[in-house]
Amino acid sequence: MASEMESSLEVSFSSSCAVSGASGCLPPARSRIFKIIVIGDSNVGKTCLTYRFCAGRFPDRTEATIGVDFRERAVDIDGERIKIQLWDTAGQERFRKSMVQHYYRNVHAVVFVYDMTNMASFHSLPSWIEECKQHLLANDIPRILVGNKCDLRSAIQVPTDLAQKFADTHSMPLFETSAKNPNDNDHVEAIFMTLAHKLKSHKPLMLSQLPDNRISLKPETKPAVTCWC
Amino acid sequence: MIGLERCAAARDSAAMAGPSAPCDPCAPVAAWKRHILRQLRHRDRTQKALFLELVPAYNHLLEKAELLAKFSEKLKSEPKDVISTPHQDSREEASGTGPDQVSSPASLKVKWQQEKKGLQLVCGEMAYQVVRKSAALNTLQSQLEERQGRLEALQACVVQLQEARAQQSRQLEERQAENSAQREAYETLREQAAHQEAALRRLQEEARDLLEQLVQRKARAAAERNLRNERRERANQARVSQELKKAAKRTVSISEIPNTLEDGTKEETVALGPAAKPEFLESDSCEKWKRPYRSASATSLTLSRCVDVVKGLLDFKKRRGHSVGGVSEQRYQSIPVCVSAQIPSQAQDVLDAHLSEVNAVCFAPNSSLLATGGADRLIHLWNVVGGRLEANQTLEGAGGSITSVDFDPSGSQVLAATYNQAAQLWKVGETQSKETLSGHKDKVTAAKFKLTRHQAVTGSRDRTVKEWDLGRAYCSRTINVLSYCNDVVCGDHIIISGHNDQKIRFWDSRGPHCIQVIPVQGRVTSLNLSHDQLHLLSCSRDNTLKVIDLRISNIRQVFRADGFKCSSDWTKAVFSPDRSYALVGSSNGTLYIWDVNTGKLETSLQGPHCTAVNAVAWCFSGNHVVSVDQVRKVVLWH
Repeated sequence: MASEMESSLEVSFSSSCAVSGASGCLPPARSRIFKIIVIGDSNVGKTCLTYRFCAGRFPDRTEATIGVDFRERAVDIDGERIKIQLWDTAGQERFRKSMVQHYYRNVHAVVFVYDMTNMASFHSLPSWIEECKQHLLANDIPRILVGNKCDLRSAIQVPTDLAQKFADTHSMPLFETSAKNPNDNDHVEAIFMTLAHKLKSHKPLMLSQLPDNRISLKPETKPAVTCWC
Repeated sequence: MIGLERCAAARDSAAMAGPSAPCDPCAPVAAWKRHILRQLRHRDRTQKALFLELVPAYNHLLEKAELLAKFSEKLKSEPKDVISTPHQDSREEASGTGPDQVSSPASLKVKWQQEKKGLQLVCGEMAYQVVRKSAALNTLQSQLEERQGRLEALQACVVQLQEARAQQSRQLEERQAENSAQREAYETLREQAAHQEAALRRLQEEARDLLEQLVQRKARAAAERNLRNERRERANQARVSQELKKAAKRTVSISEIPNTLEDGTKEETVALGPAAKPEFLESDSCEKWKRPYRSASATSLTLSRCVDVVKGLLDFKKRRGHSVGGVSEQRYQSIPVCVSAQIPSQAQDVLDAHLSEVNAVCFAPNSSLLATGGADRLIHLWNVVGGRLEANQTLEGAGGSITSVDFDPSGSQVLAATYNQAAQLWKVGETQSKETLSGHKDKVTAAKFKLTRHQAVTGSRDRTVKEWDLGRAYCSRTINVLSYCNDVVCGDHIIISGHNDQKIRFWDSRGPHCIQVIPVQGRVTSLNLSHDQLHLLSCSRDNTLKVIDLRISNIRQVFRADGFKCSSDWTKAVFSPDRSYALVGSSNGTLYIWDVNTGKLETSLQGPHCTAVNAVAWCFSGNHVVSVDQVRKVVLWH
């Protein structure tokens, strides 16, 4: 267990070092990074989902994530190279309590995960959403809801319509997937790719740092928006 | 003896009293009875003392007599062995004394004989007793033997038990030895356990410390990463703003380029196609700035505006119900939205568009382009300009009569279903068909684009609904239904098909099975999904339109009207783009419009149509309606 932890730590550190090296020598033009955090109860499969997306396979065995693990994958979207930085957060309270504010800092999207075979993990979603609301400054951060382990059809406890209703009330899209089942392989990929698409088109330019321009111009921009029906 | 005497006395007194009793029967009887009783008691008292001494003395005598009797018995038994000698003696005596006792020999002889008899009797008795005693002895001896046997057995048993006891005591000793050994071992083990527990505690503490450190390091790593992200973002932003500035500077010198965007046009729609989109984004720093502007502030105005435009377009949350898909998907990034639709009141333009029956009509998302498909195997594209229809283009190459046309949400492609068992795809601007989707075995009655890119759904009379990957012109899924399919529509992840067996079926793109069936009365001729995907309008051959609320999956409203008659199996009804009205054409050429909110017939429009109206379309901007009929006519309403 200890070695496993160490290795995961090492991986995360080494990768972060690599990234820092890259960013040190000026990032390549137009390569944007999207920070996406994956949150949810412990043992719902956050690590497996992110591992599936970034490494393309189901991890042989996983331990409880401590703090956070970083996983990155570069994708090409409409010719633009985009780095998706997944923050695989710890589900267990004791491994995450001191880190929550780091999770939510400058996050671009939030992925809520629940285990379709575990009703409790679904019932604790409101508390996750509440935590997210408390820590997020912006309201328009894309959020999606992912039900994991859909391959265990016989053990499913959370019916799709219930989850859909919940997702609707929180205006999130719902995805049901499995990180394990190879048939759903591209499904996991599709979810994150969809999210990446949304993100890419969500904020084409970061103008939050140029508030003066934006504020001064706002009144004049309005008519242009309203005539689009 | 006293008792006897008393008894006698009582009898005497009774005898004495007996005769006197009859003469004095009543009280005197009691009196003398008492008297006698008294007398008797008195006598008893006085005489009892006399006899008191006599009784023990008599008892004593009795005892003595008994004793003597026993004694004499003993004496009788003794003479057996001496019987001969006394006999001779007595004979000698008798002879010797004969002379002395002459008178007595006879009596002696009698006496002797009596004695002899008595002795013989005694002797017999003794013999009998001997026999009995010997028998008793025998039994006693056998008992004794038996007892001895038992005793021996018991002794043997005792020996055995003693042996066993010895053995067990040996075992006990062994056990005790063992126990003590084990106890020692246990003690040592306990010590070890205590040690190890201590070690475990230490390790646990260590683990906790390590974990804490790990968490701290992770937190630091996270903070660092956040910082790096921010730095990077800032760098990016700085670069972008620099580029923008540069671009702005550059464009100052180029002021003669004609205006590329008509900002003031009312008709500007949100329909920025996926093809146009990246260019739009990419070019924002270059081309956009080429337009004439007055000042630097104007530049930033257009910049921020274009940003806002894009943001508004792509607002992630604007649309609800994105339930999932199993396939990798790219959505169309712009969906036109209509605020309010105007009810048409008059026919603006009437054309004989096709050579024969016109079956299908559809507006492009930008509302200025119209497609009509007819039985003459042609699709005509029309520009809607100033209340008139201007022929734009004709799409050729359809293998059969067109049954349905559909624009994709970007407005750049047209999909048509034909009688030729296929659906065909055209690009707007190219007259020849780009793709043919073949695979159905009968007339294709409906072909619709999905909201995700490069995907389409077709329904056919061969009782199947097929999903297509347009990128590869490949059927990705075939759904077998029991009945002819007359129309299909697609939501985000739902496919809804209307059938000849009077049922509307719902299919999820994720699952293989029909997720729901809603029966209507009459063959379903058309389906139309509202833009918010919450309501479905169906038209059926029972001359009704029905609004189905997809949230509760139930028929919410039913529209009927006098005179409205659904003319064919492919009569199409539509919602207005804001879902306030439902529109359909009747068999006599009249258009009927119902208000969805009130459920009342809003209006019916009679106009140029002389025959049954096959299909109607309402443009996305909400101000035009087009209807097509069975004899070549296309009518534009305003």
